[in-house]
Amino acid sequence: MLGRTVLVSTAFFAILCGWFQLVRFSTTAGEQSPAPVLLPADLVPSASQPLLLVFVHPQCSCTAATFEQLDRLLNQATQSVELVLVVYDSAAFHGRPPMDASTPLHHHRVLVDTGGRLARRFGAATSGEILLYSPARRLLFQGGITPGRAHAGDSPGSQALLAAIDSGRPTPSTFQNTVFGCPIFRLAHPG
Amino acid sequence: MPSKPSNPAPCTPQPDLLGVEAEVRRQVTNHCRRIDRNFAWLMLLQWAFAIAYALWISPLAWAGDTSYLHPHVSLAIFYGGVLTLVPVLFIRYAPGQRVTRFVVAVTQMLMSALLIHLAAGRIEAHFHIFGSLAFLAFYLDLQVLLVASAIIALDHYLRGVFLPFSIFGSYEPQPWRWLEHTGWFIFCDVFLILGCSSRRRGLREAAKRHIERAALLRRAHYDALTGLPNRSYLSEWLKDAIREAEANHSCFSCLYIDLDRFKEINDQLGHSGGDRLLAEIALRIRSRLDDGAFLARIGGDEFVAIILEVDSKPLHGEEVARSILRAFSQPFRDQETQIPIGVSIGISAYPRHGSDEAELLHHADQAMFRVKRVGRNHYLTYSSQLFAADAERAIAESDLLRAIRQDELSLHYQPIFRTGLHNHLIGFEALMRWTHSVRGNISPAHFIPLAEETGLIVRLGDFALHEACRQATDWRHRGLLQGSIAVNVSSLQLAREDFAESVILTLRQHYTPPEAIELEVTESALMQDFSLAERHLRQLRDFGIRISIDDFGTGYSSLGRLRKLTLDTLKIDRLFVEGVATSEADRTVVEHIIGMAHTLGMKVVAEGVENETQLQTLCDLGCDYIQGFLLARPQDRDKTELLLQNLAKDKTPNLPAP
Repeated sequence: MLGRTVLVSTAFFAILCGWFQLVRFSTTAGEQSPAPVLLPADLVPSASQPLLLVFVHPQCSCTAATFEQLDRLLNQATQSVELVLVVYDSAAFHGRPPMDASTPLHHHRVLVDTGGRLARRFGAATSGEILLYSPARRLLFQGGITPGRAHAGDSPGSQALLAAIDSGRPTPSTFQNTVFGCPIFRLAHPG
Repeated sequence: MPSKPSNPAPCTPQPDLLGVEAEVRRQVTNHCRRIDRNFAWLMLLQWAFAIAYALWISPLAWAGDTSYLHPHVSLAIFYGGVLTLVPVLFIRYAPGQRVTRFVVAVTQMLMSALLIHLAAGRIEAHFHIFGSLAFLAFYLDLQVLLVASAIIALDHYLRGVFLPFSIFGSYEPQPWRWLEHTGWFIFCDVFLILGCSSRRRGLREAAKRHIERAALLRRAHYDALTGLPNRSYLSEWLKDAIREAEANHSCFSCLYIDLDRFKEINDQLGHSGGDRLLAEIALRIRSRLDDGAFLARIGGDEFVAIILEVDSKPLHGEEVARSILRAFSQPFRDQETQIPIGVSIGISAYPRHGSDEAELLHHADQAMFRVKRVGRNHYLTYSSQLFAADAERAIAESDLLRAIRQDELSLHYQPIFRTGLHNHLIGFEALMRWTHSVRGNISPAHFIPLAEETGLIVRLGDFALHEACRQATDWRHRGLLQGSIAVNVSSLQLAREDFAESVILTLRQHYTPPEAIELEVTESALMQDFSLAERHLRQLRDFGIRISIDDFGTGYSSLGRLRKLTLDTLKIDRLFVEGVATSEADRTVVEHIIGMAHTLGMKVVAEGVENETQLQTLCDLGCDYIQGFLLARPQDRDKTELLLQNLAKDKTPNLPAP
């Protein structure tokens, strides 16, 4: 009887710890740093439509949720955007199969960001970070669009991005959208 | 409470309600044990699947160029491991118990929650919940089902409040979605609960039928008084035991146990007391048997125990028999009465003493019967040498019975003479003769001992008395006989409570005057139950019948007791008469016997007188009467009657030498 009680109590404690870890991982946001308010001209000489930059770590499985949600949003948006995937590249990935690049997204360009220079330049420290610039190169949106790590679905970030795309103007929550994903680089070691 | 049928059939057993519930619980427990085992395998597979699934979705997490095991994989391994191993341990060490079912239900639902989380809340993952509930429904335990449903509902509620995106795909709590999910659970539960109820009803019906069948079987196979298996069950069990022993080359003993003097004890105690006695006998015997032994009551006061041999030692049965006998050293106490009890035990062994159940039981019964004959309260192991003669004896006994029924028996009469100058005839001794329809004359030395062993001597004695009375009445009526006819009485006849009354009744039936009959009783027969014999003889003498003590000097008697009896005649055995003229010792013995008898007021008859020298010596010693071949051989009725007629015609008591 005592053994049974000890076992059940230990199991109960382990279950609580497990749930705590599960919740913590799902809700811990990635690091962020402010993106340039104006899109650097040397990167994009001119733009006829809003530019949507999606910074991804090629091995981060959680980013699939970002793609899924982004696809949903772009289908809802009334305006079209130019979509660029900035994919972090490193020698460490060579020989590994990347996260499935055949995303549900359509009509996008892929930019290979060797060593994460661009990610650092734009402050996109976490995979899944999205930046929206207007044709006038002004920052309309920065952050993530998923409610939790690896979870697609509605979130304040996805609502703000959709509003920004449709209105062409920044929203009050433009710079307050948390992003969930694997770190591309650590802010403490910007490189 | 189940309703009772209005007109129950007389032999329909009414299932005991407690028995039905206990049987249902037993069946549910057995059923749950099987489900537990299946669940253990299911949960182990599920755990493996959760790890594989986590690895497939996201095996690694990255930070820049550095990878590490994805937390989902770690959680699937460790958290999933806790959710799997805890119920598996309960299943292993407490299978079929209620607490195990609850542990399985809780952990299974938490595993569902984990899988849903790993699948990022996809609706497809929710089917795991319904599948789990359906499996839990196999337990047929409504509370377990409700607990499982409560767990998953609580999980959905909490996650709906704190992690809505993990369930509903939105960052905002959506109560109606939670209600929708809960509604699906309830919908599923309703069907599962209905299914459980139906299955439990079926179980209850099956339990009732099982108990009815068990009660019928019990009545068919068990003794109602002692609760022991009965004869038919013993027969089936013994057949199986023989088959198994034959296959394993093992052996066992068969003990046939019979209570001594059960009829007398039962008459003393009454039927209810007799029943209590039998119940206690069963307990005492059972207490001396180990768990592997089989004990049955096969009828009346007879029990059979089957003892498996230890290390193939064939004498284990004897050890058990001795132990059983010790158990009966204490008397039976019934209310204020204490009655000494004992058992006779016959032992046979498989395969030495028989190869089938009938043979084994028969041999054990034979051995037990032999124990009864030689003194009771003991045991004997059957042996073919010891009982080889029994077969012949059984045939002879059957033959003798037939002889009694078919009038092959008759009386011969040997004259007894007074000693003295004229050898006056004073009477006859009636001797049994058997003229077999095929074999001719059978010597009394052959059939008299057989009759004594089998108890047929009583019937022979009754026949002899009837015949002697009839003949004595006839001869007296015709004036042929003035003396008496002496009839031998066996110890078995003397042991009957109504012996004296039956003798008197016989004389009255044949209108025989008591002085026409004399009864000869051996000294050994007198001593077997002296007080009873004394009572009989006093009654008979009071009626007027003469009593003589036969074969004096060859048995074991107490002179102190003999002098209490009022006897008329003492017959000296032929053993002493044979040497009376040639042996000084025999002469001295005969002289003293004659002196003692005369002192006690008895006449003396010398048997087996075969020559003149013996006759003369006996006369010199004062012997009163003579019987023997010297003077006359036993003759049948017709020749004896002719002798009497000649004596009457001659009006002389003298007889020529044969």
